[in-house]
Amino acid sequence: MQHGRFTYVLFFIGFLLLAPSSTLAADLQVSSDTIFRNFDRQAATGKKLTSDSAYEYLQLNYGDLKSTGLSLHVNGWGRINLADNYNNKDTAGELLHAYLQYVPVKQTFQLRAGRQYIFEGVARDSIDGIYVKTFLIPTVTVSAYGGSPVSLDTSNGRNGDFIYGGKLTHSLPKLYDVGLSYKYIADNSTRKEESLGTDLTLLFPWNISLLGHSVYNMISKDWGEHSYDMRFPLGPVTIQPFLQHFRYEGFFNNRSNTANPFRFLQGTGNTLTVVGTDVFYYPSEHEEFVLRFKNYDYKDRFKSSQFYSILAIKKLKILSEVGAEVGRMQGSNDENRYILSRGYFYWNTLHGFVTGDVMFVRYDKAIYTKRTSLFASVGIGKKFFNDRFSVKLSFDYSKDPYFDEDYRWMLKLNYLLDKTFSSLPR
Amino acid sequence: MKTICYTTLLLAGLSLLLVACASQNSYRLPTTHPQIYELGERREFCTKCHGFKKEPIDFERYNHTATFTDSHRLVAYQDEGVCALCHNQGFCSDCHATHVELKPSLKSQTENYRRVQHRGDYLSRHRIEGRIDPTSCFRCHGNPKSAQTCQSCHG
Repeated sequence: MQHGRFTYVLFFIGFLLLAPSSTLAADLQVSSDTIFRNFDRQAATGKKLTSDSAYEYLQLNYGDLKSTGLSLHVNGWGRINLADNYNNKDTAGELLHAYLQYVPVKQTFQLRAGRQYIFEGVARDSIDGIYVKTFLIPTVTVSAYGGSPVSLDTSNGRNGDFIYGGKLTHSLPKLYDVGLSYKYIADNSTRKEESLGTDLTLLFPWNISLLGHSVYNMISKDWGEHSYDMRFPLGPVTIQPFLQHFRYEGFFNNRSNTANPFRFLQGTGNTLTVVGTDVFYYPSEHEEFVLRFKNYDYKDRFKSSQFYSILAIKKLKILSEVGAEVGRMQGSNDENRYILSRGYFYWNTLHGFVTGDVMFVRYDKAIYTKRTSLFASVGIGKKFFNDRFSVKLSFDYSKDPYFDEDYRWMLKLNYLLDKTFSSLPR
Repeated sequence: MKTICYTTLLLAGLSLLLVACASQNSYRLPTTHPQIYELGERREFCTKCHGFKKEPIDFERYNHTATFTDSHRLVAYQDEGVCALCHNQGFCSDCHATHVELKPSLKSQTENYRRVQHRGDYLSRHRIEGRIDPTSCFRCHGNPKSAQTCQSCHG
């Protein structure tokens, strides 16, 4: 609750701070998605339940958005049930981010305060706190953050929860980027995550490049992950081989408040190595073919598995495309094998669109006595007022191991506002 | 071990500072990508305009290929600032937020050209993919709040 108050205070301060700048110029961007959904479910008791819910996803950005300066960014969603007996709670919602950002004219640093998402090497966490990134020294970027992790509010409240970390990056254009990052998370004052990570890009002649990421778990004192890929552009063909190696003891964690399978896997001492390649072929600007192969190898428990797929996409005009995909998961036994096929189209018209999507999966071993899944979706959309307002309607059908005949519909109303308020030339 | 890590971090930092001070490049990314046309409503290839230039950044690695959704994390870990040129945090939150209730393929059902995870009957497929590569589940569902999606069945 105290963080909720903090957010309201942040809103208030934000508007106060931004008010003076609006006398010169300020950009306002609002995006609203209002969604109405309906579907039926049969409960284990045999009773039929209906979900009729309305969602609102709202984003607001205000201030100096297209240049340096101060800006406010807010994003959240809420749900309310309408004649609904499926959802447990009548309402739900979340403030996803609400932060102030400041970037000076010379762009020597970036400062953000409030609820925000941090993507910095080993960090991919939502926090209530402060983030700063500096560009004071050419080719070197230093960032640091600290605050309270949002993901721990379900774990005995947020007292004693904190996160901090940072990243140091050095880049030499045309040669390499190298980054070293660190993250520490405490849950109820107990150390739950501490990791060091490296990020690397190496650029070679003939446009060949290597990109990768490694993570060292400082609690289990073990490497958690190594993920690397290379790119070889050869005219209309690009070959992108990849290698990933995970050590379960370092990658997963055994927190009591996460899902059971992850806690179990952390203790198995198993490893997973994924080796494969994507091959892209572009015969023209409007055609894209992708071949994918992946091999999964484990130290214990399973024998190796393979995944093969082919994907073909044809772009017909701006934003219109058709695509088809066939994939085969060849697990070590029938239980882990399926073949997947998918076809879709997105057809853009002057002020609207029509879409279609069909996916069929056949399982080598039946799941709840069923061996296939069929999913189909059709959609239409219309845009109004110079594409500022759009209406999208979709119908879905699914017949699969979990649902006999599942019909759903969804209506989405989207409103976009992008306005610059200016009384003086900038 | 902890001391070794901190010392390594410090030494690496000092070395980088020395190299950096000796270099000349001082390019800074703009705050936003120029509004050529509306980005974000399609998959774009940066090389279409920028070619295979490696300066100021390696544009090729940001090409939104058909499988970019699967591999974009590596470029995002390295420099989220490049993503932020075209995508605000709200775009990323459709998948990366701690609690969004509607999975991305549902929230953007008609945007079927975006190859987002969990499209169609993923409930059945997740039994197989979760056994074969559980790391791909943990990356998004590994923290206490996002794990609530799994806990109703898996405990």
